[in-house]
Amino acid sequence: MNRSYPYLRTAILMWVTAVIVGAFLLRIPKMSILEHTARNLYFHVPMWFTMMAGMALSAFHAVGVLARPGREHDLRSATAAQTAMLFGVLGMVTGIVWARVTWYQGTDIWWNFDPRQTFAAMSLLVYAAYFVLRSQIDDIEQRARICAVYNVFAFTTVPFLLYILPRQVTSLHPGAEGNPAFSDITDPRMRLVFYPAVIGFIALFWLLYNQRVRLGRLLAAADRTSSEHDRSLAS
Amino acid sequence: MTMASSNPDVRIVWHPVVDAEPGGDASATQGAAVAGNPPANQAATIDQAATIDQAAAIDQDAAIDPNAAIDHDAAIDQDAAIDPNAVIDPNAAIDQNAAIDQAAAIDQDAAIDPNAVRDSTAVTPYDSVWAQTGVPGQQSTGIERQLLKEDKLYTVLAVVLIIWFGIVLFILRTDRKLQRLERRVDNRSTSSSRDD
Repeated sequence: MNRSYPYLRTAILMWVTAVIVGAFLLRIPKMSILEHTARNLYFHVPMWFTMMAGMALSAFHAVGVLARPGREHDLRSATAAQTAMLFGVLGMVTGIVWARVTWYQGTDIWWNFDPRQTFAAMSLLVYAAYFVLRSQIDDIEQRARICAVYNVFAFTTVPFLLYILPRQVTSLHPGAEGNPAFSDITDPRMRLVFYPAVIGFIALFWLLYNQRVRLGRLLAAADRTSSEHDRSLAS
Repeated sequence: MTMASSNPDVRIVWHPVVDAEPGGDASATQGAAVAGNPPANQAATIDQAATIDQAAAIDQDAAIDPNAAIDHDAAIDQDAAIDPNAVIDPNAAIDQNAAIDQAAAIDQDAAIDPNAVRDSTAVTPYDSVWAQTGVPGQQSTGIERQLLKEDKLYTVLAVVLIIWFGIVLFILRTDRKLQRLERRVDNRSTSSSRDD
């Protein structure tokens, strides 16, 4: 472990704490329907950005697996995808709850197949299939190669599912066809928290990703040790 | 409200009706109190007008202020009552309106108090309307009511911080465990390499 890691970890945790406090205490514009739920912008949108960053990292290591086969890239690729999925699910949950108390207020609707919501769910399902694929192949080398190919394919769908297609159809989300863009309706005061929140959640992603990579290495070391032990017992 | 009589030492005093509705224009009555006195040469005509108006004023004020009657009695000026030149001057009414206008102007000044700009009610170009002013839809119930309450902000922050500090503890604890395991694996691999 790097010697600067504890300091970096502390800085990240303090940064995210400051973001959370700022998200609730700094003033926001008075927006109809949204009211204080507009503060969810500081959590919901950065979660998606973090998921996309994680998926990009996963694809990067997937290319690394194909370029230079090895367990490290495969471990990093799978771990990045897992952690990205975590943030994607959190983004989905924060979005569903947000929509429930604003767009669908006074109704019993939790999910209404809004195009961006639906495409985001499809994106998560594409990556869920990646984990199903990983779980079905026992051979380590073969699993790494096949899953790396699938990972690259999965990542190419992300811009289409999360950016291009949702902007072509009418949606309740900002930036969709007929709706004002995010930059048009976001008060500069909110950006004071929003952009640090994006940085903070991506840094938090890195922290969790780093921990899981270390855990993966330890598990791999334990596997090697146990297989060596088994061999020595057999001989 | 004070008005001049023919005797400059005697003034007609109108006690403002202070049972204004909540949020009503109470400042208008305060503004009336600061209205200036008319010039002395108009005193007689003003007295005449005041004499006519007093009937209504006494009726109104008597109900809430017994001192009002005493004030009005003091204000009755015999000279003015027998003044043949006494004419009802419509300007007297105009003066009263002017006094009320001044009060309204004072209210406007209060509304643009620079302190009010820094208040949370300050208007920004991004504001639309708070939901309290009529959001279409049904009455909020259950979880919605809790989430949409403006004053729950600190409660929500406290809950989120408790959850976040739980996550922080989890991260720190996991780091400690990982460090211990990594050290053990390092020691084992070092010792096995020495054995080899």
